[in-house]
Amino acid sequence: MNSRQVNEMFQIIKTMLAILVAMVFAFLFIVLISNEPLAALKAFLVGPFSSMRRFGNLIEFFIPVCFTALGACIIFSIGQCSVIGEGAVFFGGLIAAWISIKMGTGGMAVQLAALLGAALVCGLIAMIPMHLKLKYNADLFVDSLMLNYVLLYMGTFILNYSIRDSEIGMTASYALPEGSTLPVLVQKTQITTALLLAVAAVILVVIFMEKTSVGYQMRMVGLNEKFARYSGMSVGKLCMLSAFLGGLLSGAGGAVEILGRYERFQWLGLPGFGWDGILIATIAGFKARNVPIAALFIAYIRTGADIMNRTCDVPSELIIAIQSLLILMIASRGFLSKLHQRLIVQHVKSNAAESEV
Amino acid sequence: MIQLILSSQFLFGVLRLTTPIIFATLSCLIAKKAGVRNITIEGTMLCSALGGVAVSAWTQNVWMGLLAGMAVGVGVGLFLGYFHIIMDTDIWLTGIAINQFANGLTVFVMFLITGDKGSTSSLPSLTIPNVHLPLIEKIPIIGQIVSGQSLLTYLAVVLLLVIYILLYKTPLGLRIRAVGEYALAAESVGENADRIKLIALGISGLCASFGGMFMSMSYSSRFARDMVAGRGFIGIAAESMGGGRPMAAAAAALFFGVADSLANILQSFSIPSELLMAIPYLATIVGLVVYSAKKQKDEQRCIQQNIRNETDDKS
Amino acid sequence: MEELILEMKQITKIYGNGVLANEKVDFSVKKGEIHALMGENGAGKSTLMKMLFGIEHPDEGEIFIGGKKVQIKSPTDALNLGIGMVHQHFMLVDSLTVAENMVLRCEPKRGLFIDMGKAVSEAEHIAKKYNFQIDAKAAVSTLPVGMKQRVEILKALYRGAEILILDEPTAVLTPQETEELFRQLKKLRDNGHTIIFISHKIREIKELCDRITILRNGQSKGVYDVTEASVEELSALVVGRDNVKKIEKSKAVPGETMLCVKNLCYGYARKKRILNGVSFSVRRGEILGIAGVEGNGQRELIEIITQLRRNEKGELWLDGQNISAGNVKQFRDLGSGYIPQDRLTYGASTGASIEENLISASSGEKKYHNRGLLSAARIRAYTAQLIREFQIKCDSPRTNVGMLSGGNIQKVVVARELTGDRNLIIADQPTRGIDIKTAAFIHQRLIALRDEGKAVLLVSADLNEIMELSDSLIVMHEGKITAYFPDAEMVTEQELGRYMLGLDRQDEEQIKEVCYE
Repeated sequence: MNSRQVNEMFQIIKTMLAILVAMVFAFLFIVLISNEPLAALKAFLVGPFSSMRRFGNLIEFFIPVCFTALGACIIFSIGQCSVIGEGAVFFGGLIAAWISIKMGTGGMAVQLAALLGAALVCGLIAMIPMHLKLKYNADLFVDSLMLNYVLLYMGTFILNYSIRDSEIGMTASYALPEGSTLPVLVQKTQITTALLLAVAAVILVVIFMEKTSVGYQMRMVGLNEKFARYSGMSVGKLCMLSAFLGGLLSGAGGAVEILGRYERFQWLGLPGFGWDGILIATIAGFKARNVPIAALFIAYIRTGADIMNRTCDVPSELIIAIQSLLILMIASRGFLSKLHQRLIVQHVKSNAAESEV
Repeated sequence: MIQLILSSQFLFGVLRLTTPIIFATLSCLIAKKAGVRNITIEGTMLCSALGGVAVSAWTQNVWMGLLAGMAVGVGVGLFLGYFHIIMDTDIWLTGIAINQFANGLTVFVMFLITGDKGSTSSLPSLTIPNVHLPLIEKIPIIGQIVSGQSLLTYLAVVLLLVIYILLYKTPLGLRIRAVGEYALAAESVGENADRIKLIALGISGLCASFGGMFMSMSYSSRFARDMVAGRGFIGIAAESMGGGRPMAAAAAALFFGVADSLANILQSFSIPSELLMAIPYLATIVGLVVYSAKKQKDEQRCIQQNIRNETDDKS
Repeated sequence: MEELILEMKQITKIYGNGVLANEKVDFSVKKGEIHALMGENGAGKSTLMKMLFGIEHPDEGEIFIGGKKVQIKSPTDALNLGIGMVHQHFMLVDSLTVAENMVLRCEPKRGLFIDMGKAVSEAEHIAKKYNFQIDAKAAVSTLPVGMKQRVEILKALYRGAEILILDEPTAVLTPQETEELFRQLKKLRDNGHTIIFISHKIREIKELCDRITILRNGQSKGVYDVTEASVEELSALVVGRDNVKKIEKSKAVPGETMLCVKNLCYGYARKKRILNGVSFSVRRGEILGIAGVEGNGQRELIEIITQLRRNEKGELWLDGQNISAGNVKQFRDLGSGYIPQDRLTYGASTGASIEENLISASSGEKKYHNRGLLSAARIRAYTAQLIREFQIKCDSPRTNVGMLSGGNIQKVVVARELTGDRNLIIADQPTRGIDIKTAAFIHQRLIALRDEGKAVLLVSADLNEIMELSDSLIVMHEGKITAYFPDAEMVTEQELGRYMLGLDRQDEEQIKEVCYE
């Protein structure tokens, strides 16, 4: 085993152990507060697989967060903390609905236009805070966060003044034209072709980050910006590109969510997928290839939590809270650092012993 | 419109809406002075908002509620400190995770207490009293604006002064500023920088707790999910614009309070309310950029100036 | 016999990365003297003093203060023992006032508050006592460097320091400020304080100090009475070579000019230009060495040439192209390799693998790609060859560079920078702090490249390296070239030492000869 594998193995051990600790916490709380703890645990753990519809819920949750997590991977792997994903998901959904409604018909072309339009707009928007950071050194976190709220209200404005259906009793857009929504892939669920798009996005992002020199350069900037500059990379351009791609993916996530699962655009607040995306990316160690498994895991516990919430007396928010603890443990360098140190020392020693032989 | 803006009701509202932002700003300020970017203020406010409501309902004593909320705030601050300083976790990820944690936890606890996930309206929780200031109350206009505010609004002003004095007039403040700016220098005279940072984060959590309790025990009389609505984050922006000076940060907070009230008041005109709601956030971005650009320019000018001074000396 | 206030006996310190910083060093100071600690960069002066101040801890050896054996675990311990240190990088908080900096951690109080009035008056009082003029209420950031240094000294005195360590205090001062400092230090001595003065400026030591201890390569080279030893003797001891290692190489055959630097000026420090009209050229087939004590503008010069820093005035020509307003990519595309002195910040990315480090400057090139995508197999093939050729010891090419030893990290940097279609190699301290075998290997590679007709520009503070490896030499002192030796073999160590320490300089005509067209 070489030292890189030792590190990778440690990361896996650490993640698994964190998951174990989090799960123990979850069980403990469920047993403590529930009147029917066994039923609640069963609903939480097995629920997502108990029917096709419920398994469908899991995949439906997986799709948008997969997009936002990929976006977060690209932005965070270059070492920047932009949280534009949340606003981009919302705005992407809105723009997709707007384009569909304005085009007024269905078909592949409309779907494509809605999707691409939403993704592009969000990509461009995500570049704004990054530009302000590079040009004026304005705080990227605060700017991107504030922009999320601006996008929320601008989006609500567009909804109310451009595509709102006043005939119905709630705040929502006109119905999306027939055939403009994504076709269902699996009967009895809302799993649409969006799943295929998510899988394609994973493959493309993995190829981009690992197999192209631009993706490689982005990772290098994230690891050591000075080294990147010394090596002749254009750090500023790479940052802008990463912001664009990050926004683009989140926007696409919002678009497929609306086009896949809704008849009308009816979000009145930020949907939360952006934050989930950052948390999933953290579990994935900001590596795109780990995103599907991390996203599936989160989708699994969140769907389980929802089912438990509906069928038993344990609220799903318990799982949201515990999921955050899980991320804290995975992200902390201090967690299990002694074990890490021991593994490395052991490895170095065994290597030394080998080379002496 | 101008009449409306100059009306005493409007200015009364400005003070009211500025209150939670001032607390958030102070919370951010003291953490930053110790060198920690605290972005968990939003979550801290939520936790304290619920803690205060729950304990006040349980004990039927508003002051016990207040104390409990404060304790919760300090707890969240130290929780952040534990993970960031002792467990060496990235400050942004810690912050994001703790905010999410607070989102989930508050709803979970609320459900445990009330069986409701939306708000605590079924709880007989108490509110922090409004205070009528004797004498001042009688002054026309000013009395109408300043008097009759929540106790916490006055506390915000007091806390601003307390934090100012703490930072600039006490040994602890001096150490906080030294650690935040140049921890090595403080350590070279025997200071334990981690300890000072933890203390500062505890105080930071305390400041945020008042902001949260203002929302649930004064601005409204119950806790509701997501009720802080970004005010904690706006506090962070206000602090940035203040450039590390407490009074300037408070002024920036007031600016956001005005933007917030303007958005409220302009609704009676034909301006779409959605756009008005975006004003405080847009103002934050613009404000931050203007501030950062100016700071950058000043720094450049400073370097130029130094060069010029040094050449002058030479000749 | 005078009283010894401080004795350090048989001190040995080995850093975690295996660097032997001090080896069985004896160091003793008499009460009430100004004792110079002299040596080149990396000789172990700072390490020795850090151990005295409790920042580092000796692996072997004992420390006695006033005849009593002590353990110094932290700066607090040192301060309690009456030891104060003025660091080279000031330990001052810029936004605080002078008084606030001085009283930090021992603030005078009135109730809960700091008694700022008392703090100021105490600061002023102590300043007056030692005849220092300071404004106790001014923010430190507004003070000139010389003033900041005074605050540092006062800070130590305020904490009751009897022994005062000054780490290269004059490095940041103008001549006038230096004079002022010396007056004050002498006054401190007359008041009974003991001063340890770290420096490599021989004239200053002659002027100020009573005795001198010389360190070289982590070992003590003896204690001398400053009045009795001559400048020549001392400088020979400081810059001398322990055992001259001959580097085998043939005579250089210089060709056309590759790099041409014209009248470069840059920045200000200590009211002097950091670079003040530097002009020289490097030709194909020669190794041009830049000798000089560190901090005389070499770093800035190299960073400007390699485009990491913007130049202010003057021109840069590389292979016939003007790159005065260029960027790193352009510089590299013209066939340049650059071994930076800071290998862990610039030269390598410790969190990335050996493979990733080796391709960083050329990741866009076709040779790594297969059908438009990076090919792991091709990268593997290319890097495996480099790892073999440069004998990089690792368990896998995907091991993180941070896991390697210092020598192997440098081999990664060198492998990347010396391989490929190169015209110019810039090597800044290429063998500092690495093992002898690796150093010799790097020297051979540089000579081989020279023999292939590449131009090599070498910067080194290691006298052995610069004299043996270079074909011709220039000396930099205070931002200027002060000497040019067309044939490095004709220079003696003593001669070079005098130029490096600023005791001599050639006339303009001689220096100008280093500019070829």
